[in-house]
Amino acid sequence: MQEFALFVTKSPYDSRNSESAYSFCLAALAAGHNIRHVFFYQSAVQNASKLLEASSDEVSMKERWQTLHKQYDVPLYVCVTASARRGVVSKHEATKERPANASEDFELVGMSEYFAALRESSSDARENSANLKSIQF
Amino acid sequence: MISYLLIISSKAPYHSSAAMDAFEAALAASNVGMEVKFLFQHDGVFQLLHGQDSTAIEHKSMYKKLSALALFDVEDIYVCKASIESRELRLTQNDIKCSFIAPSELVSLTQAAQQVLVF
Repeated sequence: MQEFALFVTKSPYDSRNSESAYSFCLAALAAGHNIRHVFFYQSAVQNASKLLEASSDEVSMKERWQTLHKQYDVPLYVCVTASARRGVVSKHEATKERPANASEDFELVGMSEYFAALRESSSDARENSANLKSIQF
Repeated sequence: MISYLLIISSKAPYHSSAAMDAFEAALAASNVGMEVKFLFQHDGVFQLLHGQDSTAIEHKSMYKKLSALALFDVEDIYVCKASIESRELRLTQNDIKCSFIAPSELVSLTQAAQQVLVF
């Protein structure tokens, strides 16, 4: 079994980046692998907005990530700095003027969270064979 | 061999947020004790130039940011030789200090990395 950490970088609608990442997750899980977490950086932080509204005949990334989180228990981490810059606000940071718009399926964390997991895995690994593989989308 | 994260910065300094995002990723990784190697490739090589002036667009100088990499323990900085040559650039001693890397070495640098992020 291989364990993966995904690094998603593009907003949900403008490119197929998020869809590819999601498909990768499902395929990996179906093949018996594990997804440690999905990390959203750069404009991918838009994936965390609960205000996303796909047209009824289009792919809804909001529903897909929700499925991944609720059904498969995959943690969804969003870079807190990248989010602040792009107007994605969690309920912990919300103010009257700046209401929360991040979905509760996502957790806003520092980027170090992502790297700490990779580092931990590399120090456990023997002979440079990482047991946690980072995949960038 | 020490395992390392390779960050490839391949975009011009101010056209998008990519250069800054790569820089911040390097700091975050180094901050948790990861060994980080940083490579400039394609238009990313423009970030290295001392003469860049971003005052007109009211952005902080990428050159100044990158000058601080060593302070954050990111000391292995490389530049793709072919990217420099194809843009007819010449790095001088005022530019960000980095090691030139030939296309063949680029492959081994990437292959030996435990993780790679491209911006």
